[in-house]
Amino acid sequence: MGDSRVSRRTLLGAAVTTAAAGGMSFGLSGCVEGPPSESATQTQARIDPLTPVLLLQQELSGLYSLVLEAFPELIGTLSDFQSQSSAHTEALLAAAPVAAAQIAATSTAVPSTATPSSIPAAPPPADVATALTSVRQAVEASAGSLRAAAIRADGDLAALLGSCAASTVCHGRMLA
Amino acid sequence: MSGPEIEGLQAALRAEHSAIWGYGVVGAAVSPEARQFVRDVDAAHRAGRDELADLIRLGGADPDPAEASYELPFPVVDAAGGLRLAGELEAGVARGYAYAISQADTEETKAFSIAALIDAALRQTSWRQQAGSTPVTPEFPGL
Repeated sequence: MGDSRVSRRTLLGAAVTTAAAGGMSFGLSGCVEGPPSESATQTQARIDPLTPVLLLQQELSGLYSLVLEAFPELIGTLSDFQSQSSAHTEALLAAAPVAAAQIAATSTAVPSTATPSSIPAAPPPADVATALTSVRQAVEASAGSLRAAAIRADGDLAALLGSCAASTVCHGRMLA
Repeated sequence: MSGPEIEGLQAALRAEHSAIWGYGVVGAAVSPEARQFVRDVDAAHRAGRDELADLIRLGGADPDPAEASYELPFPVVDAAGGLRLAGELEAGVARGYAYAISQADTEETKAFSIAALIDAALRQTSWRQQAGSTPVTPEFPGL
Protein backbone atom coordinates (compact mmCIF):
# COMPACT_ATOMS: atom_id res chain seq x y z
CA MET A 1 0.00 0.00 0.00
CA GLY A 2 1.48 3.25 -1.05
CA ASP A 3 -0.73 5.56 0.97
CA SER A 4 -1.78 5.80 4.58
CA ARG A 5 -5.13 4.14 4.08
CA VAL A 6 -5.65 0.77 5.66
CA SER A 7 -8.06 -1.73 4.16
CA ARG A 8 -11.23 -2.49 6.06
CA ARG A 9 -10.34 -6.17 5.76
CA THR A 10 -7.02 -5.57 7.52
CA LEU A 11 -8.67 -3.54 10.25
CA LEU A 12 -11.38 -6.11 10.78
CA GLY A 13 -8.71 -8.79 10.91
CA ALA A 14 -7.08 -6.89 13.74
CA ALA A 15 -10.43 -6.53 15.47
CA VAL A 16 -11.17 -10.23 15.20
CA THR A 17 -7.71 -11.09 16.45
CA THR A 18 -8.17 -8.74 19.36
CA ALA A 19 -11.54 -10.17 20.31
CA ALA A 20 -10.28 -13.73 20.05
CA ALA A 21 -7.25 -13.00 22.18
CA GLY A 22 -9.21 -10.92 24.68
CA GLY A 23 -6.56 -8.25 24.47
CA MET A 24 -5.24 -5.47 22.33
CA SER A 25 -2.55 -7.37 20.43
CA PHE A 26 -1.93 -5.07 17.55
CA GLY A 27 1.52 -6.45 16.96
CA LEU A 28 -0.02 -9.71 15.80
CA SER A 29 -0.53 -10.34 12.12
CA GLY A 30 -4.29 -10.23 12.26
CA CYS A 31 -4.99 -10.01 8.54
CA VAL A 32 -7.69 -12.36 7.40
CA GLU A 33 -5.89 -13.19 4.20
CA GLY A 34 -2.58 -14.98 3.85
CA PRO A 35 0.49 -15.27 6.06
CA PRO A 36 2.05 -12.28 7.77
CA SER A 37 4.29 -10.06 5.71
CA GLU A 38 6.50 -7.11 6.50
CA SER A 39 4.06 -4.73 4.85
CA ALA A 40 1.16 -6.12 6.85
CA THR A 41 3.12 -5.64 10.05
CA GLN A 42 3.98 -2.10 9.06
CA THR A 43 0.34 -1.45 8.23
CA GLN A 44 -0.81 -2.71 11.60
CA ALA A 45 1.73 -0.49 13.31
CA ARG A 46 -0.10 2.50 11.82
CA ILE A 47 -3.50 1.40 13.07
CA ASP A 48 -4.83 3.49 15.94
CA PRO A 49 -5.51 1.20 18.91
CA LEU A 50 -9.18 2.19 18.92
CA THR A 51 -9.79 1.58 15.23
CA PRO A 52 -10.32 -2.18 15.50
CA VAL A 53 -12.53 -1.61 18.57
CA LEU A 54 -14.73 0.81 16.66
CA LEU A 55 -14.82 -1.44 13.65
CA LEU A 56 -16.10 -4.26 15.81
CA GLN A 57 -18.76 -1.86 17.11
CA GLN A 58 -19.79 -1.13 13.55
CA GLU A 59 -19.93 -4.80 12.71
CA LEU A 60 -22.20 -5.32 15.72
CA SER A 61 -24.41 -2.47 14.55
CA GLY A 62 -24.65 -4.09 11.13
CA LEU A 63 -25.59 -7.41 12.68
CA TYR A 64 -28.32 -5.78 14.78
CA SER A 65 -29.78 -4.23 11.63
CA LEU A 66 -29.53 -7.48 9.67
CA VAL A 67 -31.22 -9.50 12.41
CA LEU A 68 -33.97 -6.99 13.07
CA GLU A 69 -34.74 -6.77 9.37
CA ALA A 70 -34.98 -10.55 9.10
CA PHE A 71 -36.80 -11.06 12.40
CA PRO A 72 -38.88 -8.00 13.33
CA GLU A 73 -40.37 -9.94 16.23
CA LEU A 74 -37.04 -9.38 18.00
CA ILE A 75 -37.44 -5.60 18.10
CA GLY A 76 -38.73 -5.70 21.66
CA THR A 77 -35.73 -7.77 22.73
CA LEU A 78 -32.98 -6.01 20.84
CA SER A 79 -33.95 -2.42 20.09
CA ASP A 80 -32.73 -0.96 23.39
CA PHE A 81 -29.43 -2.79 23.07
CA GLN A 82 -29.04 -1.64 19.47
CA SER A 83 -29.79 1.94 20.45
CA GLN A 84 -27.33 1.91 23.34
CA SER A 85 -24.66 0.25 21.22
CA SER A 86 -25.09 2.99 18.61
CA ALA A 87 -24.74 5.61 21.34
CA HIS A 88 -21.49 3.95 22.44
CA THR A 89 -20.16 4.04 18.89
CA GLU A 90 -21.06 7.70 18.44
CA ALA A 91 -19.42 8.67 21.72
CA LEU A 92 -16.28 6.72 20.91
CA LEU A 93 -16.03 8.15 17.41
CA ALA A 94 -16.21 11.63 18.90
CA ALA A 95 -13.60 10.78 21.54
CA ALA A 96 -11.17 9.07 19.14
CA PRO A 97 -10.73 11.30 16.07
CA VAL A 98 -7.76 9.38 14.66
CA ALA A 99 -9.62 6.08 14.74
CA ALA A 100 -12.72 7.77 13.33
CA ALA A 101 -10.66 9.13 10.42
CA GLN A 102 -9.15 5.72 9.72
CA ILE A 103 -12.58 4.11 9.63
CA ALA A 104 -13.91 6.87 7.40
CA ALA A 105 -10.96 6.30 5.06
CA THR A 106 -11.78 2.61 4.74
CA SER A 107 -15.36 3.49 3.84
CA THR A 108 -14.23 5.66 0.93
CA ALA A 109 -11.27 3.58 -0.25
CA VAL A 110 -11.48 2.28 -3.82
CA PRO A 111 -11.79 -1.51 -3.78
CA SER A 112 -8.88 -3.42 -5.26
CA THR A 113 -9.48 -6.62 -7.19
CA ALA A 114 -6.41 -8.16 -5.60
CA THR A 115 -7.27 -7.24 -2.01
CA PRO A 116 -10.97 -6.55 -1.44
CA SER A 117 -11.42 -3.62 0.91
CA SER A 118 -14.76 -4.59 2.35
CA ILE A 119 -16.10 -7.67 4.03
CA PRO A 120 -19.01 -9.20 2.06
CA ALA A 121 -22.33 -8.84 3.83
CA ALA A 122 -23.18 -12.00 5.73
CA PRO A 123 -26.49 -13.72 5.00
CA PRO A 124 -29.14 -13.32 7.70
CA PRO A 125 -29.22 -16.10 10.31
CA ALA A 126 -31.52 -19.00 9.49
CA ASP A 127 -33.83 -18.69 12.49
CA VAL A 128 -34.48 -16.65 15.62
CA ALA A 129 -32.41 -18.85 17.89
CA THR A 130 -29.42 -18.69 15.56
CA ALA A 131 -29.86 -14.94 15.21
CA LEU A 132 -29.86 -14.38 18.96
CA THR A 133 -26.81 -16.58 19.37
CA SER A 134 -25.00 -14.60 16.67
CA VAL A 135 -25.89 -11.31 18.31
CA ARG A 136 -24.85 -12.53 21.76
CA GLN A 137 -21.47 -13.72 20.44
CA ALA A 138 -20.90 -10.41 18.67
CA VAL A 139 -21.90 -8.51 21.81
CA GLU A 140 -19.47 -10.52 23.92
CA ALA A 141 -16.67 -9.95 21.41
CA SER A 142 -17.39 -6.23 21.45
CA ALA A 143 -17.47 -6.13 25.24
CA GLY A 144 -14.12 -7.91 25.39
CA SER A 145 -12.47 -5.50 22.99
CA LEU A 146 -13.92 -2.46 24.80
CA ARG A 147 -12.72 -3.76 28.15
CA ALA A 148 -9.22 -4.47 26.86
CA ALA A 149 -9.05 -1.03 25.25
CA ALA A 150 -10.15 0.61 28.51
CA ILE A 151 -7.25 -0.99 30.35
CA ARG A 152 -4.80 0.33 27.74
CA ALA A 153 -6.31 3.83 27.53
CA ASP A 154 -5.93 6.72 29.95
CA GLY A 155 -8.06 9.39 31.58
CA ASP A 156 -11.58 10.15 30.46
CA LEU A 157 -11.22 7.94 27.38
CA ALA A 158 -10.46 4.97 29.63
CA ALA A 159 -13.57 5.72 31.69
CA LEU A 160 -15.71 6.02 28.54
CA LEU A 161 -14.41 2.72 27.20
CA GLY A 162 -14.96 1.06 30.56
CA SER A 163 -18.50 2.39 30.72
CA CYS A 164 -19.28 1.17 27.21
CA ALA A 165 -17.79 -2.21 28.11
CA ALA A 166 -19.95 -2.44 31.23
CA SER A 167 -23.12 -1.57 29.32
CA THR A 168 -22.26 -4.09 26.62
CA VAL A 169 -21.59 -6.82 29.18
CA CYS A 170 -25.11 -6.14 30.49
CA HIS A 171 -26.50 -6.62 26.97
CA GLY A 172 -24.73 -9.96 26.75
CA ARG A 173 -26.06 -11.03 30.13
CA MET A 174 -29.62 -10.21 29.09
CA LEU A 175 -29.17 -12.22 25.90
CA ALA A 176 -27.66 -15.26 27.65
CA MET B 1 0.74 4.81 43.20
CA SER B 2 0.17 8.46 42.25
CA GLY B 3 -1.92 10.97 44.17
CA PRO B 4 -4.68 11.04 41.52
CA GLU B 5 -4.81 7.24 41.45
CA ILE B 6 -5.20 7.16 45.25
CA GLU B 7 -7.92 9.81 45.07
CA GLY B 8 -9.76 7.79 42.41
CA LEU B 9 -9.74 4.75 44.66
CA GLN B 10 -10.89 6.88 47.59
CA ALA B 11 -13.86 8.06 45.50
CA ALA B 12 -14.78 4.46 44.77
CA LEU B 13 -14.40 3.63 48.46
CA ARG B 14 -16.71 6.49 49.45
CA ALA B 15 -19.26 5.17 46.96
CA GLU B 16 -19.00 1.70 48.48
CA HIS B 17 -19.51 3.13 51.98
CA SER B 18 -22.62 4.92 50.77
CA ALA B 19 -23.99 1.80 49.07
CA ILE B 20 -23.46 -0.35 52.16
CA TRP B 21 -25.41 2.16 54.22
CA GLY B 22 -28.10 2.42 51.56
CA TYR B 23 -28.62 -1.31 51.29
CA GLY B 24 -29.71 -1.27 54.92
CA VAL B 25 -32.62 0.88 53.80
CA VAL B 26 -33.22 -1.30 50.74
CA GLY B 27 -33.30 -4.48 52.82
CA ALA B 28 -35.98 -3.04 55.08
CA ALA B 29 -38.12 -1.98 52.14
CA VAL B 30 -38.05 -4.83 49.63
CA SER B 31 -40.12 -8.01 49.69
CA PRO B 32 -38.90 -10.97 51.75
CA GLU B 33 -38.14 -12.81 48.49
CA ALA B 34 -35.67 -10.10 47.47
CA ARG B 35 -33.86 -9.94 50.80
CA GLN B 36 -31.43 -12.76 50.11
CA PHE B 37 -30.29 -10.95 46.98
CA VAL B 38 -29.89 -7.80 49.05
CA ARG B 39 -27.71 -9.72 51.51
CA ASP B 40 -25.59 -11.11 48.67
CA VAL B 41 -25.17 -7.67 47.13
CA ASP B 42 -24.36 -6.13 50.50
CA ALA B 43 -21.66 -8.77 51.02
CA ALA B 44 -20.21 -7.99 47.60
CA HIS B 45 -20.01 -4.29 48.45
CA ARG B 46 -18.35 -5.03 51.79
CA ALA B 47 -15.78 -7.15 49.97
CA GLY B 48 -15.23 -4.33 47.48
CA ARG B 49 -14.82 -1.84 50.32
CA ASP B 50 -12.22 -4.03 52.03
CA GLU B 51 -10.30 -4.58 48.82
CA LEU B 52 -10.25 -0.86 48.08
CA ALA B 53 -9.06 -0.09 51.60
CA ASP B 54 -6.21 -2.58 51.18
CA LEU B 55 -5.22 -1.04 47.84
CA ILE B 56 -5.23 2.44 49.32
CA ARG B 57 -3.08 1.33 52.26
CA LEU B 58 -0.67 -0.36 49.85
CA GLY B 59 -0.47 2.98 48.06
CA GLY B 60 0.62 4.62 51.28
CA ALA B 61 -2.60 6.43 52.27
CA ASP B 62 -5.32 6.00 54.87
CA PRO B 63 -8.69 4.84 53.53
CA ASP B 64 -11.48 7.40 53.87
CA PRO B 65 -13.90 6.36 56.63
CA ALA B 66 -17.64 5.92 56.23
CA GLU B 67 -20.00 8.72 57.23
CA ALA B 68 -22.35 8.16 60.15
CA SER B 69 -25.31 8.43 57.76
CA TYR B 70 -26.10 9.47 54.22
CA GLU B 71 -28.88 11.48 52.60
CA LEU B 72 -31.32 9.42 50.55
CA PRO B 73 -31.99 10.71 47.04
CA PHE B 74 -35.73 10.29 47.67
CA PRO B 75 -37.98 8.92 50.44
CA VAL B 76 -38.27 5.13 50.41
CA VAL B 77 -41.73 4.13 51.61
CA ASP B 78 -42.39 0.82 49.88
CA ALA B 79 -40.83 -2.12 48.02
CA ALA B 80 -40.87 -0.28 44.71
CA GLY B 81 -38.93 2.55 46.29
CA GLY B 82 -36.46 0.04 47.67
CA LEU B 83 -35.83 -1.41 44.23
CA ARG B 84 -35.42 2.06 42.77
CA LEU B 85 -32.99 3.04 45.52
CA ALA B 86 -30.97 -0.13 44.90
CA GLY B 87 -30.61 0.85 41.26
CA GLU B 88 -29.51 4.34 42.29
CA LEU B 89 -26.97 2.94 44.73
CA GLU B 90 -25.40 0.86 41.98
CA ALA B 91 -25.35 3.87 39.69
CA GLY B 92 -23.46 5.74 42.41
CA VAL B 93 -20.97 2.92 42.83
CA ALA B 94 -20.47 2.83 39.07
CA ARG B 95 -19.67 6.56 39.14
CA GLY B 96 -17.07 5.97 41.82
CA TYR B 97 -15.33 3.28 39.82
CA ALA B 98 -15.55 5.21 36.54
CA TYR B 99 -13.77 8.07 38.26
CA ALA B 100 -11.18 5.62 39.58
CA ILE B 101 -10.57 4.39 36.03
CA SER B 102 -10.08 7.94 34.79
CA GLN B 103 -7.51 8.65 37.50
CA ALA B 104 -5.62 5.37 37.34
CA ASP B 105 -2.03 5.21 36.14
CA THR B 106 -1.54 1.47 36.33
CA GLU B 107 -3.20 -1.26 34.31
CA GLU B 108 -3.77 -3.20 37.54
CA THR B 109 -5.90 -0.44 39.06
CA LYS B 110 -7.76 0.09 35.79
CA ALA B 111 -8.51 -3.64 35.45
CA PHE B 112 -9.73 -3.80 39.05
CA SER B 113 -11.93 -0.72 38.64
CA ILE B 114 -13.34 -1.83 35.30
CA ALA B 115 -14.31 -5.21 36.76
CA ALA B 116 -16.03 -3.46 39.65
CA LEU B 117 -17.78 -1.05 37.28
CA ILE B 118 -19.08 -4.00 35.27
CA ASP B 119 -20.34 -5.70 38.43
CA ALA B 120 -22.17 -2.52 39.47
CA ALA B 121 -23.76 -2.20 36.02
CA LEU B 122 -24.90 -5.82 36.15
CA ARG B 123 -26.47 -5.32 39.58
CA GLN B 124 -28.11 -2.10 38.39
CA THR B 125 -29.53 -4.05 35.46
CA SER B 126 -30.88 -6.72 37.80
CA TRP B 127 -32.58 -4.14 40.04
CA ARG B 128 -34.06 -2.30 37.08
CA GLN B 129 -35.36 -5.60 35.73
CA GLN B 130 -37.01 -6.39 39.05
CA ALA B 131 -38.48 -2.89 39.19
CA GLY B 132 -39.85 -3.18 35.64
CA SER B 133 -37.85 -0.15 34.51
CA THR B 134 -36.86 0.40 30.89
CA PRO B 135 -34.41 0.38 29.36
CA VAL B 136 -33.21 -2.38 31.64
CA THR B 137 -29.53 -1.83 30.93
CA PRO B 138 -27.65 1.40 31.71
CA GLU B 139 -26.38 3.17 28.57
CA PHE B 140 -23.27 4.78 30.09
CA PRO B 141 -22.89 3.37 33.59
CA GLY B 142 -20.72 5.55 35.77
CA LEU B 143 -20.70 8.58 33.46
